[in-house]
Amino acid sequence: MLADSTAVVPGQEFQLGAHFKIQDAHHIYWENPGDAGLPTKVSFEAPEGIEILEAQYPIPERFEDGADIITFGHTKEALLTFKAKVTSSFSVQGPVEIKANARWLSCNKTLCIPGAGKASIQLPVGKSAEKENQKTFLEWKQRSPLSYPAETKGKLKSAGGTGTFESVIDWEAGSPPKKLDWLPYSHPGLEADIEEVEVSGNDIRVQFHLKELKGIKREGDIFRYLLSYREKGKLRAIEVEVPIL
Amino acid sequence: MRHVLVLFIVALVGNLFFQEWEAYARDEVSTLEVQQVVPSFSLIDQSGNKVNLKDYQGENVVLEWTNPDCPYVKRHYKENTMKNVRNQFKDAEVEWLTINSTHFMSSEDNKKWAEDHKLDWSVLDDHKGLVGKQFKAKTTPHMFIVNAEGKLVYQGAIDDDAHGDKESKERVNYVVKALDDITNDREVAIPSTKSYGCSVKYAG
Repeated sequence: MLADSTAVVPGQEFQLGAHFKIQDAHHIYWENPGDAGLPTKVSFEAPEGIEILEAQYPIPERFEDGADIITFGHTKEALLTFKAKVTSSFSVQGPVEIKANARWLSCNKTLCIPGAGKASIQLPVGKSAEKENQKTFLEWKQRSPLSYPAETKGKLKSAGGTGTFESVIDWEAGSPPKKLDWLPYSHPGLEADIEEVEVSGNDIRVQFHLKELKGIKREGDIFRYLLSYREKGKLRAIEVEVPIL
Repeated sequence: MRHVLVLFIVALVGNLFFQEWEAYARDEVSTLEVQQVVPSFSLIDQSGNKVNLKDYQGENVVLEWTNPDCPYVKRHYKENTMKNVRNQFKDAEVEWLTINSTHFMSSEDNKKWAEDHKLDWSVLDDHKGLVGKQFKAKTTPHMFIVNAEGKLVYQGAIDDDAHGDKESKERVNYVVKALDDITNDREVAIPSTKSYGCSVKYAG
């Protein structure tokens, strides 16, 4: 486990990182594992006054497991980062210990192995802090998706809800990539299916369907997805948010 | 006489071909959605018997996709999840069929696994994966319920506890809920959920 700060400072934020080293020929799963697998999750125990927000996952790879089974995940290594907010009234005497509990499913072509692990970090409490592990956090920030604006038409019909959506993304930097993969974030209570990703001039058009699962509570009114592509051999992605009502 | 023999051989080969076609769903047939009528299939069980879905016409049938090597299947069989559901509805004209589409497993593997867990129902060999692909079985476990009218009325997870963290009484077992609805003549309230587990290990 890593931190990007040498200390916890009341009223300031810092970042934590949970670093996974993945066995050769195996992968672990993204926050939406896709058609199979289980998401990699990290939970924390931290003193009151330190709030740790949701994970930022690196851009996942897309795997085709045969028979149209599509999954999303990470190979070799992955750093999940977490923003940590410290209240201005934080008065716990240091050093403070932040504990992480991680769970994952590691799979290869024939076998899956569930995993669990614990890690912790101790940080002093101070009035100021130096940056730490900057190179690592920057490297992994570059492996994270970039938010990108899009104009999206479509709404989820109420009471039972299905909807067809079309996003148009105006690619601003040169020609858009020719091959793009669509990776939806998980959204409990919603089933998402891609219809088409089409590049036309400087525009990327994404048509997809959303369907409410009957009897399952839908969480939130914003649907997010990634469009991933390769640029000079590196995996890149943009993240698009779509209001669904 | 020779003509009769030739005709007999042609008829025999033709019949075998037709049975082979019938035994597996065709790739080009579109895959199933909830509320669609399920086409029949037949597969061989762990005792070498041919089991045909149409033999259960008029009954509700639970189809459970499995892979004995999958840790999620292992956990459920250790906890007797499937057995408990099956026993709960045994007297209510609910049949249970377990299907193994793992390409590197055979009827022998299914037989050993059924014996190890003392299963008194059929475990079907679908190592070619055609029935699994017809149903779009993606994970192990992945559950499907076919009602007495032959329609698919549920597909998805066995329950809402992928990690096995909850006490069993806190879990929502989607198959129990669906069977409860069906056996009480109610519409299935939750017809579709996202299944969890290992991916089905199809060939290729």
